[in-house]
Amino acid sequence: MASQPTLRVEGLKRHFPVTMWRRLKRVAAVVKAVDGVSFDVGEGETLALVGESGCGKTTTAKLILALDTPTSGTIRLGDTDVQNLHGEAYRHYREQVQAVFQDPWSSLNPRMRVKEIVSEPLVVNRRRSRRDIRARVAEVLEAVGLNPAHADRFPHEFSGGQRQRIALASALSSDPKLIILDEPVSSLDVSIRAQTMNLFRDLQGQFNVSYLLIVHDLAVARYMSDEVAVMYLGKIVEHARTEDLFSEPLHPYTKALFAAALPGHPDVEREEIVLEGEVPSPIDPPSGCPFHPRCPMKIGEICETTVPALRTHQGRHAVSCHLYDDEAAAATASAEA
Amino acid sequence: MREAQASAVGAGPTRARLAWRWLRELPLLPIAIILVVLVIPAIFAEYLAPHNPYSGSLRARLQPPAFLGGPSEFLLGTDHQGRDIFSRIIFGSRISIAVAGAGILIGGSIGTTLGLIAGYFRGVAETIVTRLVDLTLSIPAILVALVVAAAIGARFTTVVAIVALVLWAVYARQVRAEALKWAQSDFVARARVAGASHFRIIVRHILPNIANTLIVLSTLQLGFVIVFEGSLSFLGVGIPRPNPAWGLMVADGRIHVVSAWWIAFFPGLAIMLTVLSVNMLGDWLRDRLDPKLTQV
Amino acid sequence: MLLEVKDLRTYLFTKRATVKAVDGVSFYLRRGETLGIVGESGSGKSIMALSLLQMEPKPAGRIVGGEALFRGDDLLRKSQGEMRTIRGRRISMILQDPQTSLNPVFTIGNQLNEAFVTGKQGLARGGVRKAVVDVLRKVNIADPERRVTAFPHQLSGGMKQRVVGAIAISCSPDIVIADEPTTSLDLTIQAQYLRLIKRLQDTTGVGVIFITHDFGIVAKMCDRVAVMYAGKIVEHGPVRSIFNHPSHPYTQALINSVPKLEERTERLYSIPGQPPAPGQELVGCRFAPRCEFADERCRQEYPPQFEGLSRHSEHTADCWRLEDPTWRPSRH
Repeated sequence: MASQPTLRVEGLKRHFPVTMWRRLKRVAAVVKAVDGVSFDVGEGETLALVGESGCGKTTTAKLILALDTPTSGTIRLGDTDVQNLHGEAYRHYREQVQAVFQDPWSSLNPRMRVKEIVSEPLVVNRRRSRRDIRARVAEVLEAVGLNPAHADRFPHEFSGGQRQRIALASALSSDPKLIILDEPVSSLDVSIRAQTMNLFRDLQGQFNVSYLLIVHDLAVARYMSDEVAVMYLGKIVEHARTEDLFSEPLHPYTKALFAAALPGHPDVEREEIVLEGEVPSPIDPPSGCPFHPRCPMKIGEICETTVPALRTHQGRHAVSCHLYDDEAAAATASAEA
Repeated sequence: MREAQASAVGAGPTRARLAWRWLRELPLLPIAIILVVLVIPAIFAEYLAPHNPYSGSLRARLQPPAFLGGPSEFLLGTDHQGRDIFSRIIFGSRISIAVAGAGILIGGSIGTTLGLIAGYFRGVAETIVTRLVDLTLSIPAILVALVVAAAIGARFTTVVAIVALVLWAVYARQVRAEALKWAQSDFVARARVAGASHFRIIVRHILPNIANTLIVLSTLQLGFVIVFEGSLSFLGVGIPRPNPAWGLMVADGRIHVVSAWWIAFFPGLAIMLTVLSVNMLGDWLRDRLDPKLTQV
Repeated sequence: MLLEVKDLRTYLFTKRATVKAVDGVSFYLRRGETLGIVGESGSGKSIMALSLLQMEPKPAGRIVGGEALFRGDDLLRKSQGEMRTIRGRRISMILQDPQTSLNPVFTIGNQLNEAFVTGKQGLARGGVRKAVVDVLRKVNIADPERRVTAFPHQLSGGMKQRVVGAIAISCSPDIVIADEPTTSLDLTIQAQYLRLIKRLQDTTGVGVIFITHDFGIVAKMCDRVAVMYAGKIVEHGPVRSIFNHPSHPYTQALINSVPKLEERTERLYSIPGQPPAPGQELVGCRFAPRCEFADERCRQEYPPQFEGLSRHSEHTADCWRLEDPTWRPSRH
């Protein structure tokens, strides 16, 4: 990307100290929920963070939303570093980064009217006239396809899909640069998902906003995003432009996810990749490559001892797997020669 | 595009119809009892009471109720000082309301505030508040009342203070649990993302969602406070004589219970009816205000 | 025919309205077959399944009509006592949330024991123990001898759901009703679980009714599929026939509105509007308000069932448009 990214995350880590009891003795341990994650979200683009539960995608979202503080690493929105924001800079950040959560039933305060919910990012950050606020609320409600005349209603008068539209209207009201969409359609009815996804896509262009999409459904990621990063146990294992990733997944874990995804037609035959076991506990992650205990393509000892680096493959497709070490080495060699 | 014209579901019933539905389902009997026994007497005591509740004539002492052959002017009979029991019960409703109202207001405010702080901020505040709650609830309230009354004397303010002291812990415990739950909800997360201050989140997001709990809790506590005040008065550390507190009247009637049972019986009946109907009202409110039950 | 349901009706009687949750549903299930019931939340698919076992949500729910012939016997006419001998033994259920399906205070061994003891008589104590370990091994639980002493909270979600599956198959039932059994599971765990169900079905010949909102699961698991909308089955047929020639506009819309993993989708077809709210008065075709082909008749009168679509005798759909033979899909 030529222009400066909207969001730049570098070396992000979030380790939670936990205490456990083992044989009646207290042991201190660390959960590495997010363990060195870096990515950019380009202006007006969508990056999908894909992974199973416990992979750290939700914690990453919380860190960017400043609902939690990173152990180390930086998050930059444009030129501002998110750490230790105060006063005007803090208010500005709060206006610029918004979120839409998974469950539209719990993410809208049942005791607030739609207009209060939608205008909250506006009213808490700076003084605006009532007329401005009313006009903006009507504008964003219209944009998400709701009747502005319903602004006086309470959330329970709306269906799930409509509530998700209200949440989006609220997120858009302060004209943000980045909206984090945390599984925005997975709790909606199937017949509502398509209209909601189309709405998200349409409004992205209209409001020129970037999305960070947290999602477990690969097909949704493909439809919604420009770029995809696959996470496993707190690390990004593969990161590429959406079309590159879907046309040629490289990491064995990504391949396994593809194989496990449900087909769109009974005649779709998928490569049978049987992943045995479950995601290991992030308290005691495996040595070397975090995926090696379940990996069907394990090469050998190197997988158990050495953490593979996230390296660029063919110039644009980043993957962290020893399978592609030779290729990377060859590339470096040829560059040197 | 048609998809853009999504209108609200079913266009819901109007406000007036909702209000009518509410009215129709009101629990009429408890409300009627509360009005007749508690509210109306408290407001119109001067007009309703046929006699002076504070003084009577010794000549007319220990008269049985009118319907049991006593003089027709004393509807529910007289006590050992010749005071009209009916009038005393009417004036006594004021004391019950005053003690319960003041005690719940003070105790409830303190408890709610501390509960909100504990549940929202957690950490040290939570530890301190929960420990204090445990401590308060583990001390027998009557004992504290006896000590306090012995130290500073039985007065209206003392009674209210003791009631508040017991109640705050009940409120704090309940509110903390609720605040804890709401503090983790997605809409609070969204408010934080929007930049709302802690104060705003507590006041605008959490408090309105526990308002129902507070209303229900208060009705249920009302019954408790009336009984509690009765017990205090009965033990002689409540409202001082000659005030016509219901509990005090029961206590005074105790020694005559065999010969003149009506002295203790009617104030006792007043307590029982009030508490029973207030609790029924509280139960009804709890069912009614629970959003999960009203959703469907 | 293992199970034949005819015109099943289960209504929910609430203070405010009568909700026709299941409004005249008919279908059948053969031995060893998997039938998918697809629908959104509120379509009545779960209440339909519960009704088969007379477990409709009480007190609001009541079965008001129809029959469910299980090997010729009407399940809906049976007493609660008789139903107890059928539930879990002849017909068992796997529910969505393994968290609440298992009792947290008993070990999984206890819970399986119970399933065996209430299900089958005549197993000696050691026999039960062995049977428990066997069934756990059948559902791919590693080290089953040790796992029998584990409590539910010591197992992961996927493992818990496999234990629930083990309980469901412990008495070798004829039918297993699986109500969204994988929605709480992760992708790779879901794949493991679906593979397991398929294998168990191959080895035992049990009939499976798979209740889901996901056409992907149908594509992967089912032989036949019935699409439910607002309490009615609007289309029914063999899975390939449905995917290749969806005949009801709702089915077409659903299939077209799901993003594909295999190919790039420029723009998804989006179904306008919202599903009907429960209790809403419904006349005519339930889907008419959201259907782009609907006309006045659709809004007034419920369409008849058209059979033999795509030249397949089992493929049926309820849609007025199919009156016109040119709209009927044909196999070529």
